[in-house]
Amino acid sequence: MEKEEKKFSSTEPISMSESDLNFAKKIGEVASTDLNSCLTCMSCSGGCPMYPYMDYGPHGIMRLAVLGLKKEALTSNTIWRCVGCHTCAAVCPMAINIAGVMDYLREECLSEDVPIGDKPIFEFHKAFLMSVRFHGRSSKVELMGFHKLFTIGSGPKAWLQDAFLGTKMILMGKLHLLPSRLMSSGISQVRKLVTGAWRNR
Amino acid sequence: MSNEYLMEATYFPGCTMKTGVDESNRAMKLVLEKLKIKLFEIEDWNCCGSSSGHAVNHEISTSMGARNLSKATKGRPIVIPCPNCYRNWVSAHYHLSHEQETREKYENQFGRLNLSDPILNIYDVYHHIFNLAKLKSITFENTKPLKDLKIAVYYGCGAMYPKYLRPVGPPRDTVERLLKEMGATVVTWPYPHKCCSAFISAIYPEIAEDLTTQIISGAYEAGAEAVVTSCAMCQMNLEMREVSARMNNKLPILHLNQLMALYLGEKASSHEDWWKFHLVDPKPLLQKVGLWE
Repeated sequence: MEKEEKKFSSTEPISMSESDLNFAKKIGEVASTDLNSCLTCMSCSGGCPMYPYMDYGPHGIMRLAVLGLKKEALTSNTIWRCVGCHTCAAVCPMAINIAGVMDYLREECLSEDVPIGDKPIFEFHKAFLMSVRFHGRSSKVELMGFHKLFTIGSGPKAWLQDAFLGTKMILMGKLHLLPSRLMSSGISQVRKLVTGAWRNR
Repeated sequence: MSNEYLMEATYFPGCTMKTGVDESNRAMKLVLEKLKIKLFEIEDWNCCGSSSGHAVNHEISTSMGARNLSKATKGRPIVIPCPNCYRNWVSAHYHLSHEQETREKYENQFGRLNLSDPILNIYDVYHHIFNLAKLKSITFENTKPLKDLKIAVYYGCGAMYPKYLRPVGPPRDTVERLLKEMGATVVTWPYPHKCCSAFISAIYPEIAEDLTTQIISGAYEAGAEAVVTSCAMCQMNLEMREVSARMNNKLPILHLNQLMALYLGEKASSHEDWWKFHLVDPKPLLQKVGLWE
């Protein structure tokens, strides 16, 4: 995986003409945190394990949100490559729930019709929720199967990725081939929960 | 006295523990049996929502947590071995106990939610037990100290919480102290809380290989012979990527539960089914430090 060049390092002035000045306030209300208290200390990006692979990094997203640059924030791949490890939120000196902000931005990205910054990761979440919808619990093997199916357009490298190691782990009995399931009444309850909240895209 | 239990607890295994790292699950059940903690698995539990639930919709992890909380029996603490499940549970618990509307909505749907009992991480339970042992209220029998074992403690990012859930910050000395108590040498190293890349490992293995190489070589350079973790997902990720990445010093990744079991007098050789599921074989190391008998 190549390391991404950061987008904010360009010397061009930031165009504010399309900025939504209530964006930070709205995020703050939903994620119950105050974005304007951000000090730009970059502790979040310093601790972020995925920072080299992101286009803005968590502190960049915080800036975009405060400046109201909604489109840039929602189409960035940063919000998708965030693994939700909460390192940023734990180290933030102003106690901003940064991972919560990322969750909100992903949700916003799905509800508004903007292009998704990192498609394969979105397909993974879709495959996961599919597996949960079927059994009420997730099954690693099935999840990977779905993910391969959803990303079939990405070429042979993606098809064969981990195929050998995965098969080995199934054969040695580490990964169970059959998912563990709920009772049927439970499955329908969980399915209702997932489909109620999740609009397929 | 011998049949009396110290504590009864509700137990939520989680999907990974159930279908991916069964060896840790079995070791944990054995340990808790020895520590006289009786586990009752939640009846008909569902997935906690994992990383994907809260990633795409905040309602999913709260609603799934609500369903699980409605199944938990009142009066028993809830023990959760998986750190990510734990974080999802406490976050759902936080939202349900602070937002009345949400709570009412899910109570109408699933019945009474159990919001009064504490939710415990597995190492919190062990920590508590060791404290009791220090106060001499309980005694361990036939313990076997993990002498000569140099080990790096890896919490993974599961120990990181937003400030509203855990204002004191991540646990920094809990598992280390446990292992020192068990007689092992704990190395100081830079990455106890570094994320192993979680689900990204399944999508971009290169990223996971980068991070794993950093973590494992960090542990190796600090002088560790093995890495111990309580997170099922971390164990699986580290092992898988260690095998697939090009690196020289591959360290075995052990479960905290397994080491606890060894300390409490279990024989490593009589649990062949724990070690055969490891992609990096820990057997040579255990033989070297004299834990294999």
